[in-house]
Amino acid sequence: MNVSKPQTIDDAVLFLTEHPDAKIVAGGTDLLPRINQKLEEHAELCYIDDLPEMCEVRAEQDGSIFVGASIRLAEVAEIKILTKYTGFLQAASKVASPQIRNQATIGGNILQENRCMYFNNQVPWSDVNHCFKWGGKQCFQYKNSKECVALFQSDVAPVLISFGAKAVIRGSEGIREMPVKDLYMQAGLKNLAHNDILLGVKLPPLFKTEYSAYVRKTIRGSFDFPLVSCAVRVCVDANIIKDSRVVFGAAGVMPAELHMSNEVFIGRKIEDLPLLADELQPAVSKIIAPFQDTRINAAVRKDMAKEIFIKAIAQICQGN
Amino acid sequence: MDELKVIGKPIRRIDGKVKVTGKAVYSDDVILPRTLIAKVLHARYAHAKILRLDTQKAKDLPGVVAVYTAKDIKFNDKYFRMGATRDTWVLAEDYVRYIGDMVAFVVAEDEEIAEKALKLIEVDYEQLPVVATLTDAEAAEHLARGDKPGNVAMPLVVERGDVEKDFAEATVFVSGKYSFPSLHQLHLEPNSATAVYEMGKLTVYCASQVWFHIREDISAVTGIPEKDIEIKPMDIGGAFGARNDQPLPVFTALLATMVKGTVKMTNSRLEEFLACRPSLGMDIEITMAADSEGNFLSKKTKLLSGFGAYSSDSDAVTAIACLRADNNYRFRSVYIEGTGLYLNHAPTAAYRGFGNPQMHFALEQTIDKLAVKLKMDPTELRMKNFMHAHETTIHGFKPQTNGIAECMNKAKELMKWDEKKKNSVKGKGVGVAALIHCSGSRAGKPEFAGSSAHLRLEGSGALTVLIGECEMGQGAKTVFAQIVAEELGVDPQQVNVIMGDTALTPFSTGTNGSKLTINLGNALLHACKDLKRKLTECLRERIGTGPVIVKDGNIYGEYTGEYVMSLEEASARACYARNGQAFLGVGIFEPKADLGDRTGYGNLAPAYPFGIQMAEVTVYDDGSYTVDKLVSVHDIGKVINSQMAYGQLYGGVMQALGSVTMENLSINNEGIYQANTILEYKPPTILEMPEIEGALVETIDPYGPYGAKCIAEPPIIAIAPAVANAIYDACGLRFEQAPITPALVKKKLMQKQRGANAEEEA
Repeated sequence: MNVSKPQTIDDAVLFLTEHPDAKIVAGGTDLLPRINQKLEEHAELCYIDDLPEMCEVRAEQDGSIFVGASIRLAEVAEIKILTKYTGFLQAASKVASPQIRNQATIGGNILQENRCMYFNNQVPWSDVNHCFKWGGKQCFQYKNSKECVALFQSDVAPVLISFGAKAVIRGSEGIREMPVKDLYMQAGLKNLAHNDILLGVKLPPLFKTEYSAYVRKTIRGSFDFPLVSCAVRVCVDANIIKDSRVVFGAAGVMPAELHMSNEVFIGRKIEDLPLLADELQPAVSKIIAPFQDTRINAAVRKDMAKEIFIKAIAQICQGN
Repeated sequence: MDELKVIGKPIRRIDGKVKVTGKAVYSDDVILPRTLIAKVLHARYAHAKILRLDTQKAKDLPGVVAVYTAKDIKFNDKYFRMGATRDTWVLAEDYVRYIGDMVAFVVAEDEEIAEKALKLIEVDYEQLPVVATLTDAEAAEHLARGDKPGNVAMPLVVERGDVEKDFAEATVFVSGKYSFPSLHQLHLEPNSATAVYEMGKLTVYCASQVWFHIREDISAVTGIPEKDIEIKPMDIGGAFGARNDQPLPVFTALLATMVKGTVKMTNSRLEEFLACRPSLGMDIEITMAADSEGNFLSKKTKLLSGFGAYSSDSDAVTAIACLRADNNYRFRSVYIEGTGLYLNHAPTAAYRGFGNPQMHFALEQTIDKLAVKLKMDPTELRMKNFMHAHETTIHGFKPQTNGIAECMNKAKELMKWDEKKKNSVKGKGVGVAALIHCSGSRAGKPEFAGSSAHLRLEGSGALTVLIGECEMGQGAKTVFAQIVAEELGVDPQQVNVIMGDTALTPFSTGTNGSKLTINLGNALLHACKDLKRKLTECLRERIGTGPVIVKDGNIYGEYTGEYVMSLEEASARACYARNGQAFLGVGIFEPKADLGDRTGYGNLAPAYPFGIQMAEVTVYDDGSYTVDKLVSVHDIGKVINSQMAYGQLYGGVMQALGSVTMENLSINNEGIYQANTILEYKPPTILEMPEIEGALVETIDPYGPYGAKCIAEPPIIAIAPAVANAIYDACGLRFEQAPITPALVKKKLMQKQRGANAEEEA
């Protein structure tokens, strides 16, 4: 395995353009275990962990905050200007274990591969389960599926989407921005070219009064991927809800947004939030894809989603 | 008896420093010149017929030394374990029977070449139906292996007393159908071995709980006599029963013999999960009969245990699961039907507790149900039915000490049981479970029950203990150093302990059955006495000291009490007087323990540990629950080293908590182990651990060294039922299946709500 380490972003983009098989690696906590498990093979790695532009956190003139993609998840808690982005801090602090959070980057968390026990716990000498991820033509989750339905597992992305964060991307044409939500496509694909590098994310300025929360459900309290997770953000002015966003993670191949939340919440009093949330419960269970694995069935996943939504709302009310 | 100076004290582990500083040498650290690397081709399917097996392309790859299949191995059918079933092969012949079954060996110059060669081996399979669950195996619609009708590996039917009569007299009945999954021991160090073949002799570097069994196995598959095989013990990164049956060192030795050179083999984590020996999953049905006062009368048990595709220690584990737990209580009669079944899973074997945790999960929940039915406090119901010391139990145990009542009182105090029962809080619950185990249960060799130890004193003053068992983290080395230190009055850090070099130590039957402290400790005590006798005799007769004794590391006049010389000086003078001959203290312990008759009846161990474990949980409306506190109180006889005893206690409790709350191999219908990484298997991390309050009740057992029994296995045995009972106490839901995951609780709560709604509508 060949590891190249470009010194600048320009070099990195150039390198990736010239090496269409090279795989980007930064913290490595997502990619390297798969390589070790022999689920993936890469002859060429492009190591972009410490490019200066990607290690920055800065307040922009418009009040938004740029967080470099190479910032470690463990560092997020220590960044003062992020203190009020409560949900973001909560999500970053829940990823995996302390050791992994010291190494894993925000960019890597956002762009991590979807997971599925049929693939990630594959036996390399077996061809029983050669699925779409292996370049095969079948899915072991849904026998009739025409594409991969592996589960989206990022803790950080649902929160960023709830804040309306933008991804800042450097490609061969220069720098561009797109909503974080638009990074995700069907079958676990990412809306990025091979030579696109995620420089960081831009969090919009906070509303005057704003509450956010991230709640997730796991089998093991620590060091686990979510069974399902929920990020909620509510903006309030004079006790009246002005804006809201509710996003679920581990809800399917992509983060799932509860678009109805604004219909129900806007213009209502923040005190009424728990009651309003109850109204939304049937809508929650509809947007959770019926993904199931050996540990949890589809019905339970839907029910858990409702439960953590209510928990997140309760946290927001407590913060009020 | 003089006051003990070293025994009972929290002496620092003598092997602690090298381990925490990373200087311990594990099997994979062994690097020898001209070492070839071996790899295994495992089966693709859990059950299939091999139609074609072509290794030519692999053989032709430059750097490949040899590729072997079953037909190349002369003694392919001779890989037996201690189990009686004798039904396994080194390499699969015509069929593969579990994913992980071994099809071919590759020996190559390096790992990369070996792995490339594996991919060049061509195998055509015809897939056969997979028997993946105990229910399927019992139904026997398909066979896990064509040569075993009905999938039955082992039938065991035991009846003691008159069950039908006692059931007819009984007025209260409770029953349950429980399921406990196959678990992985999750020792952190994967198996590795290096074998050197030279002029008809073999030297094998590996980590094992059973050095001498490994030697037997190697002899069986290579044809080399045991006297020409030496097993070099390496430091061990955890065992927990997993190193009781290890194919890897045996096959490494076989390959070294076949290529006439040095061969190394190291398992990947995946191979540890798929091609080793996890515990037996069991389905257990119990019906208990009692009178209205709460006296246990009788019990019927039906147990199915999963052997996997081949048998290992699985028959012994099944027998213990069937019988051992009953001995804690005063049953008039019991009927047990235990059936070991073949499945297309990895062969199963020992895991800390040896079948006992599985049955305790079932029995201790059934007793809890009885308490609910009788409206009795579950602690009182148990107290009423416990056996006492000096009584013979239903399966023939004769414990000389039994501190279970003290354990119960102490546990109740630590849990504030009565207070919590009186002032119950919604969603909170407490649960109790009792346990019994064997201390030094008789296993390994039908010919004898005991153990041997040597203690050598050289002219330099060096004291070396030679014991044929292993130090696998449990602290045995330190216990043995303490015993020598106590008897001779030296510093325990100065005692060398060699455990398991087959060329140096006495023969041993295996580090299992919670037996080292009691069996080897006793043997070593005898060795100390023998050494002192030989030394003082020599001092008297050849040095002319007059009658002397060894005390506090010195020699004193036996009657005068006066200082004569230091032990060091004495050893030099005495050894030189004997032309340099060192003193060898020899100790044998022959416990009063039976092998048991054909129905498993007998006094299987010199002593029996008892214990009470309790859990406190909170169950939330949303289906999540937390284990808030665990209490673990054990009658372990005399405590030899308090710090290490508590270490064993906390470790066992943690493993047990994992088994009841999250650990799962997640084996699917195709026989695939979906949790084949530590991430997916999900053992608890330290962040999952609640407060654990431990306490030790010191009975002084007449058969134990200084009165000691054991602490190795007991802490893992009854935490699972204690947690399940606590969850019932908290929310009224009974979980008869482990692990009790949040998803399972949620599912059951939803069912309960639906049931309630349906009732409302009706």
